[in-house]
Amino acid sequence: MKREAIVANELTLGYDEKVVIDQLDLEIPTGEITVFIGGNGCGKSTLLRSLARLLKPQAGTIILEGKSIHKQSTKDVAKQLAILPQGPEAPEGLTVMQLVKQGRFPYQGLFSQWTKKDEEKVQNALKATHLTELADRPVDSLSGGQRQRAWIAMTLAQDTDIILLDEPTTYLDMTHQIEILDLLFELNETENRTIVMVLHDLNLACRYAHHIIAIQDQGIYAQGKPEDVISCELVRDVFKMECQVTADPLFGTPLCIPHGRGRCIVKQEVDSFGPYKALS
Amino acid sequence: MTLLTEVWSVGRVQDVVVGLRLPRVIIGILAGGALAVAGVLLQTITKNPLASASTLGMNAGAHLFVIGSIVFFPATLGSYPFLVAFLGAATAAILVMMLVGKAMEPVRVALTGMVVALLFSSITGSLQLIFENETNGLFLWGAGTLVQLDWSGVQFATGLIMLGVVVALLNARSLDVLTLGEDVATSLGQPVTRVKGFAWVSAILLAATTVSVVGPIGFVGLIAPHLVRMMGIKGHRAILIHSFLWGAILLIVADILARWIQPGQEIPVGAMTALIGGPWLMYLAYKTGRKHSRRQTKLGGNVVAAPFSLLVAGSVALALGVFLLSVSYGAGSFFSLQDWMDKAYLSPFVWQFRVPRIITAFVVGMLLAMCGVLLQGVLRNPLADPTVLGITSGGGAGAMVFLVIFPAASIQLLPFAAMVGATLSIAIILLVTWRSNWEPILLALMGVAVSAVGSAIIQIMVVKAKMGVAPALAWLAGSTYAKSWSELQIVFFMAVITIPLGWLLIRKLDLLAFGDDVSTGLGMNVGRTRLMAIALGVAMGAASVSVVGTIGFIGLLAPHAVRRLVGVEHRRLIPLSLLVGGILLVAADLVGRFILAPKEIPAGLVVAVLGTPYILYLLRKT
Repeated sequence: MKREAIVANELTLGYDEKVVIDQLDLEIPTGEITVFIGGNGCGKSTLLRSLARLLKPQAGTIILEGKSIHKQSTKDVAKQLAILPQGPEAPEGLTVMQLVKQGRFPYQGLFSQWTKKDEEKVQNALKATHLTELADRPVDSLSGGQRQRAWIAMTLAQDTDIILLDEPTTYLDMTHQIEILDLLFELNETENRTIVMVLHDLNLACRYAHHIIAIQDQGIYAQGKPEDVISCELVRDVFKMECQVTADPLFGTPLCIPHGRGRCIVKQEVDSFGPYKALS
Repeated sequence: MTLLTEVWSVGRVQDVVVGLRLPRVIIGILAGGALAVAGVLLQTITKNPLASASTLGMNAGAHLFVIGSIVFFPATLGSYPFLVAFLGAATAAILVMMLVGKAMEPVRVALTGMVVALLFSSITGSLQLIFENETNGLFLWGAGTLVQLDWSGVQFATGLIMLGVVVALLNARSLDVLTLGEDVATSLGQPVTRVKGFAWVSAILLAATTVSVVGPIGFVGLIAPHLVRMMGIKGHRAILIHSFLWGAILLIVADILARWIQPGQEIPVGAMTALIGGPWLMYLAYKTGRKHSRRQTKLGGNVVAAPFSLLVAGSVALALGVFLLSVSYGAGSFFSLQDWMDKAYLSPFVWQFRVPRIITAFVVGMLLAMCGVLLQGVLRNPLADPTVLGITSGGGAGAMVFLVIFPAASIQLLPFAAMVGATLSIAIILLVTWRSNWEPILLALMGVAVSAVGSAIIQIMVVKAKMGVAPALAWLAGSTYAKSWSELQIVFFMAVITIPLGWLLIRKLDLLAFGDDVSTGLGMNVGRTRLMAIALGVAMGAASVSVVGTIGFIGLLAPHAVRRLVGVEHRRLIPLSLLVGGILLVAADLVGRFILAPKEIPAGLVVAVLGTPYILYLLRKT
């Protein structure tokens, strides 16, 4: 039996007067990787932040594990759901170990001591992110990819079933993007964690996501498996761009090739690539 | 025309108008206009809506240099106030620029400018105290006044101000291009460095000229350009001309208000403009803060390998040493070994006066350091201390108002008045920033604005109370002089309650450093934590202010020095900061008693002066 990890009902979000998301209903499937896509400023990050109770909705409810997220204490929420905001910054000189340890905050009371279980969770998080050797290095001395792994390790130490990430691959080069996404994929595969993230790269989203949600015009344009959802029409409507959708030669997942101008070195009309067919 | 000549020849009464009032109005027009034009220039070249001659510390720099030259070189430099003021303003401008770095981030510029201004004015204050006779006539000027005795000021200022304004106007079009950004301006073929150089020089020229004639007057340069921009006037040529006019109007109106509040007595017009301008700065700060609120500042710290226990042991030893040294010094000499053997420290004089004073200094030092730790943690800003959040000036204003309204009341009640003032100013700040969940940057900017208002109230009250300037200055400068066991009780009580409460917050303070999103994600109630930490910090700061007056910088110095040694974790930061804070203030008190004995220099000034190099270094690093 599969339950929804997070459910949103008639969610309206915005800043001051400006409405960004209007009366949106949403279900995040448990144990899967869900990715929000959409153009710049469409509200996908806003939506993610509200699911993590970083932003209070103007109207509507968010249900986490059967209970309204704003009716639970923020510490209880932190035991079920972790969020990695976009571009987080650590205090100067802080070591990886000190950073990851902060992930145990929701489990600690005013006077409680550091327990064996805390230590174990921190060590596991370091191991899963391959940072055990770097544990004593200051975070700001690490490379971009390592630094992002350290932050992910902190959310892992939080020991939650759900992890939300706001554009975890921004500012990373291609190698490190794949490294981070592989890590998240592995966490989903081996530990069955529910992962929700915002990604800019449509093709990588299609490769890693079980469930893709396209945001457009203050609501959901389409959702489902990438191979069912991604089409020329979707890209045209959501990203305002003409493209060709084909199959990724390695993975078979949808691959979006934008139209536009540029050097052409094959004698072929752009239209003749043929429509995309999902490979089963 | 005939009327004028007739009136001229008939009444000597008109001489007052021509000789005193007319030059006063004209110097007001010139000074107001000059400050406004300087404000426009500075705002454009620093891309910062909060820039002006006063917020960048230029007024304070000029003020310090003039006072310094009168004290140290009365014969030579003292007769060229303009040159000296120019040097001072330029020094301050260069200092702020060096400290802020190329990015010129508005909030950073505002905070750095304020700290530089604070530094300069505390040195000025100490000079005024130590050389009371030499600087006696300069108090009114030092607060900014349009009083003119003849036409010489006008004659002197007109040429220089016109020069500055003309240079600004000639550069108007270049400044328009510059607003698109330096990269764009360069690619459009503009010699950016030269344009900025011209703008800086004319801004400094205008600021220095006004300071040397009418003293440091704040806020005109901030308000006038904004009024003009709000009216929708575009293009620098028009903005400059309109700002000149509005600056003139503002300053004249403030001057009239000042004379109207207290007829027959001179309330410094600079205090008036600050009183009017403070709320305006709050409004501006609110807007700027909202725009930049997504940027996060960071707290820095080194992780040095020095073992923590060794550091604590060393500090305890140092504290004891300073303590004993301080107890043994008095009336120009130290205890001899024989005195110690004779238990001279138990003599009634030492026991009644010296010992409580020293312990008070230590406890206040601890409170101020802890206050700094809390506020820096909350504001995520290494420059935060009780001064920045307006606690010190709020407390000072509270005490001054109390002294004026109840001149007969017991001096014992002064601490409570100070506490009310401090609480009131922080309450205003918290209420205004409530909707933003106490966003750090907004808090800091509001603090700057509120403390400006607080200092203005202090200045007005000093004049209104006809207070002998020196005692008022001494209290404001922060003095540990003549603290008794009963005053020690207040701070001791406060320390026993608040320091353990602060200790309970350590984990949350650690977490605050990661920014709102991360700490909320980890299950912390960010708003509530901030509120608790600020409330604690204010209680500590207010208690200190109420007992020893406005001692700044310890809250800035102690946590910083310690953070370099033990890193950012609060469980190490707090105990060591407490010790260092206590040591600093006891040592400052000792130095203040020692240097000019039998005269005493207030400990607050010693801290400010001795701490200056370190603070400058620190501003550079952060």
